[in-house]
Amino acid sequence: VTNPSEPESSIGTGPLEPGSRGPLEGEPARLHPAALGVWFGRSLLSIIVLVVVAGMIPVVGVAIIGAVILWLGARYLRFRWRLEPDAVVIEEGLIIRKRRMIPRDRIQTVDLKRGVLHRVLGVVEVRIEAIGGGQTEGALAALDPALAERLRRTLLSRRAVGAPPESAPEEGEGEEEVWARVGPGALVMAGLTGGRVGVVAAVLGFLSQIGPQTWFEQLADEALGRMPDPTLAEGLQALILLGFLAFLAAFALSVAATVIAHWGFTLSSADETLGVRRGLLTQHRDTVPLHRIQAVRVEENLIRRLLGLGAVRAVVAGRAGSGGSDAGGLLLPVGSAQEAFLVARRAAGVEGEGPPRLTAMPPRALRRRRVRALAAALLAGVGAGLVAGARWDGSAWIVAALAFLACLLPAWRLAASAYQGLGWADHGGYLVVREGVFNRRTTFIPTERLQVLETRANPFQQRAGLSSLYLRVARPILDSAPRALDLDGDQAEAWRERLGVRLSPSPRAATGTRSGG
Amino acid sequence: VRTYWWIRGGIRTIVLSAIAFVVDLGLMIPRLFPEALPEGVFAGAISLLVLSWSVAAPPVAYRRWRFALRSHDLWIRKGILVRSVSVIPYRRLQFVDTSQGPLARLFGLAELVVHTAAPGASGRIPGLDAEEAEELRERLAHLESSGDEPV
Repeated sequence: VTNPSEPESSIGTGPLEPGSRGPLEGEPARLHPAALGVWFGRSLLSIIVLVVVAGMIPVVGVAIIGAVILWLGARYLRFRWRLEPDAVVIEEGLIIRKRRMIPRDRIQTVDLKRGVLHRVLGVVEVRIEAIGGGQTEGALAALDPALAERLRRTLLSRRAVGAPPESAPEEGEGEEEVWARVGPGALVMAGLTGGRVGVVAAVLGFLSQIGPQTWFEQLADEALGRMPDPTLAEGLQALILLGFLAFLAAFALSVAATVIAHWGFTLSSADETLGVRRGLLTQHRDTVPLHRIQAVRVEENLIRRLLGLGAVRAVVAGRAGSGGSDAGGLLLPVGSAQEAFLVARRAAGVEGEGPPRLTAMPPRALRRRRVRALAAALLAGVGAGLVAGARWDGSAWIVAALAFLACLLPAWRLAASAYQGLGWADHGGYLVVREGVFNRRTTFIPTERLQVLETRANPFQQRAGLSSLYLRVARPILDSAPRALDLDGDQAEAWRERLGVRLSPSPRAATGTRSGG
Repeated sequence: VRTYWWIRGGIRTIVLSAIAFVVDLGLMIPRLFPEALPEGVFAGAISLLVLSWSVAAPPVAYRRWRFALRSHDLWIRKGILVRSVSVIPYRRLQFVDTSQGPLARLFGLAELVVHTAAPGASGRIPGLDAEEAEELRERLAHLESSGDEPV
């Protein structure tokens, strides 16, 4: 347990003048003047392009820059924001005037961000995310750090709406408890083992270890030997080498990007919220109230599984662009599996520790996967046979059989591991589902967060009497829905109905109390 | 207790309109590949396939597509090949739309689209009689206000 003194005073605590009525008290306010600098910096690239395109005529260039400055100035003057008792109000727009109200009880997360430019100018950007829409709902480009911090606290506190802000002490409000810290070494590990690039690199490295002389060289020689022109062959060789180098460089860059983006990663909780601090160049301080977390997912890809590592991601509705491999919602870039599950459980409000004990799917699900493997191998065999038959005649059957066998073994193995990856558990207050062959994803979902339940069965599943249960929660659009694949059909239906009943208010509760979320 | 309020899902005409649409599409395909395939065998086969599907599928889809307003949730079954059953608790409803394309308007039909906080449309009930759809929408909108809770 540490106290919330901010590192390198990144977010200061200088009190505002007492008695002054600021935007937090409902008085419309402008952004920090540094917003001008931030906006200018952001549009710098397009300005340069414009100026270059406009020809080298200096008058035009000066005119463009002048126009931009005028435009930004006007934009700055038009921009007003304030905090009302139950909403954040932002008014902006030069030509089309916009007035946006973000109801406080719809705010999902509040993120503070400091890019290099912000740090030079000594300001903070505040991004308020509400549910719905792909983009950030409320973006305040530049605020005084102390003000930003107070805004964040006020918006996220679950206290009565409109409590006098001066009663909220600047410091020591909630004890901050650090859940996880990720050091530079672990971040390098995260970069090395995370993402597709890492997987490919590892596989390539593995292959080159197996047979550096035989496999690659032979392949290359064969390819080069067919080249009619030796100089062309040399050129190709150089090209391949270049490609390989480019690949290595891309890989190194992606590792570096991971390390820079997550530098000093700290996950902490205070006052019923989870906070993430990270970033070397652009510093982020993201905050999610615990009750806004829709689901928590532990992701273990193949390499991480071998090394006993895992990453944790929170599914939060409304955060812009947090699908995919992007850093949004990441609660732990990498950690031991034990640590990952502990963080996930705490974030989801689930007791216990370690990987959950899951119920396996019926053996028919395994059979289905084996049939699929068999079909894939057969297809490969037929394909190889056709190709061979077209080339040399004769030995096509042998080639087909070899291809079939060569594909069958790994496919069979994959089928087994896909089946082992499946699992589900229903603990009343929360559900757990797991799937994934290479990237194994274990998702914890508090039952209260479920939105829609759907059972689905494709024709193959129907024949096997299997069915998948999709557990839809509010989440970013790009994110995939948690689901329990290949449950027994009747069981899936029964589970769906049970959950439906659990989500429905009991007749008395419906007319009586309203749950507070 | 499952109370089926409406089992009468669509009206036969939606089946007709769907067929008309898909047949049109089927005839488009040979026009798109004039000479790539000799004598249009492939295209013909595809259009035949599409045609047979468009003839066979709508009645099945019509039979498969069922919905029920149960005591606490909306229940929707659908799908010919991939069969699915959705359960949407009334508490989770965010808003309810009815929509009507030009063709549907011709037949006096409307589609009801149900949204929750989950992205995309959570449930659709196509081929409702326009007035029925309106009535249903109002009823669902009323139900939703009984148990609202921010996400």
